Amino acid sequence: MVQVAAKQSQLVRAIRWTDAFWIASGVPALLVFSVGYIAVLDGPVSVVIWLAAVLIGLAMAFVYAEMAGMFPEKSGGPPVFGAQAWKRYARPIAPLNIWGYWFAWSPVLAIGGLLMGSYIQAEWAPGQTWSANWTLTSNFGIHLNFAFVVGAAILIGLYWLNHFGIKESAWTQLVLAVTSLVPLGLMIVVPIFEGKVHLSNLSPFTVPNAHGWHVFALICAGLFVAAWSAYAFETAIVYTAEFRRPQRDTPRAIFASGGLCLFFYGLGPFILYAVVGGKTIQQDPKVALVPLAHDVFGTAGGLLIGLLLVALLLSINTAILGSSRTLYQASKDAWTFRFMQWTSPRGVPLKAMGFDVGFNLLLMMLGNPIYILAASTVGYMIFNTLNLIAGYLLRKDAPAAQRPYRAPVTMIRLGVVLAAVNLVLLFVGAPSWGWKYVGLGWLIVLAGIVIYYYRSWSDRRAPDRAVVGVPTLSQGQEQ
Amino acid sequence: MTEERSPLANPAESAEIDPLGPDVRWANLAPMIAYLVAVGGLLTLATWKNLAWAYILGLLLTVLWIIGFVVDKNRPERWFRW
Repeated sequence: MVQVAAKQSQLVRAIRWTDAFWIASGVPALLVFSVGYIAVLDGPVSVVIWLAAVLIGLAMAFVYAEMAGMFPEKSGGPPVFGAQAWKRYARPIAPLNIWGYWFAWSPVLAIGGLLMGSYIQAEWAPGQTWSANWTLTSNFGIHLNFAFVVGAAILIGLYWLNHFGIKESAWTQLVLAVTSLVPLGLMIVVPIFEGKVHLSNLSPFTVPNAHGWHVFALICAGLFVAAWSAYAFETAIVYTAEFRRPQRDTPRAIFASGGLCLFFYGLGPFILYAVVGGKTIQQDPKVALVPLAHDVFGTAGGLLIGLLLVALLLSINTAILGSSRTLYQASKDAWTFRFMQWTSPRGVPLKAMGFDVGFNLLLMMLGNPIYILAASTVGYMIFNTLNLIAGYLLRKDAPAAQRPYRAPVTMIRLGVVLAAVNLVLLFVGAPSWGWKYVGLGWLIVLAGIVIYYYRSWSDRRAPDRAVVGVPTLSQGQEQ
Repeated sequence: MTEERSPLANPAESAEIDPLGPDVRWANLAPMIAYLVAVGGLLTLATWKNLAWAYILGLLLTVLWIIGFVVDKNRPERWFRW
């Protein structure tokens, strides 16, 4: 007799920490998204900004690893764990935390898609300059162009690819990672041995065109956007509910991913600036790594761009997998729309993933990737501030709760200090990227609270409708 | 027979056992949340108008927020006196 599973929305425990490591290996490629813009904004100081950002991310990982181990049944990443602490104090903060995190990760799809389109256009289709624009204000509107079409095709293709299941997705990520990170790593290491690193490019070591408190604001602005990339390896613990041995796999996954990012974020921006210099980066910060590829590999630069595209594909896929699971768990915990907890018979949260892709197709129409990134970083900093406090609260409220990984108490206290740092970055750093995009970020994140109240109202009104999805075979889940 | 009841029928409490144990609250965080919102507003003003005094005051208040946790040390509860 075939036994049908009692739960109709269930992820599958099918991966080890190494699989999560490969899924998260798209994070180093996030460097590509903003390294040029931050270099333009902060000049050679950007090199130190990136190093500081990844070190802060590593310090925060101790807190997040402990939190993840406490909730081995939950998917969706750090905000889901943080919500468990906040819900005892102020319930609306829990969805704010989760929605902020989702809005931080989800736009990787839009930004990555647009960047891929831009790289392809710059390298192989310079003639594709057509565009259709509908401007709402002088510099805020809807834009359709070649980059949008390429990006949209990529997102839809990845949605199809990921419907096969988490194990298959991890394999895809492994292939993409090896294909892309090796050349990206070579691009960082080779110039050192070729003697192309010129420290004179870092001189004068100042923030250009700024004085007084404006210097502080620009450094905060650089750290603000760098954090979006350099903290992001925490995505390795999004898959806690899909780990075969969550207690063991969780800390291993996050610290291994953090080590990988320390190399790329600590060294990559320094090599870029020291090899090509600030003036070359300024010419087109969106594709800042193109001149580095040409400088290092000469005529093979085209091939390198191709491999960079694979790296971008990798990071987009990391984001699709992670952010869809955040929505899935948030829905399961009744923090957001009910339909997102539905999983396919293969254990994939397809409706959450579909929502993610649809939202980003709309976001891509805004056009400029860096502004989308700035808006989404508002969500990320809200999340990081609240979640580090949550780590402290969990220690206070549940000191005896089971913790497979227990972070040193110094790191939990340091987490509070870093929450303060993130708070300052949120309010001082964000506005340098444009008030309207900061406003857009806050608007989308605060919408999470409205959606939470809608969900609560909806569940009270029709609790029977909470049953979703299709029955899954328990045997199938064990495969 | 399939059990049709979803854990979400009661959204606040799922079928899972809360690994945190009993509902214990370390402190009343409402004053702290209001304090953070005020600090955020002050720092936003500092950035908007480029006001040196607002930057300094905002940063000092942020440091004071951290001190609120230190004050708690070796006491059973509270952020500052809350």
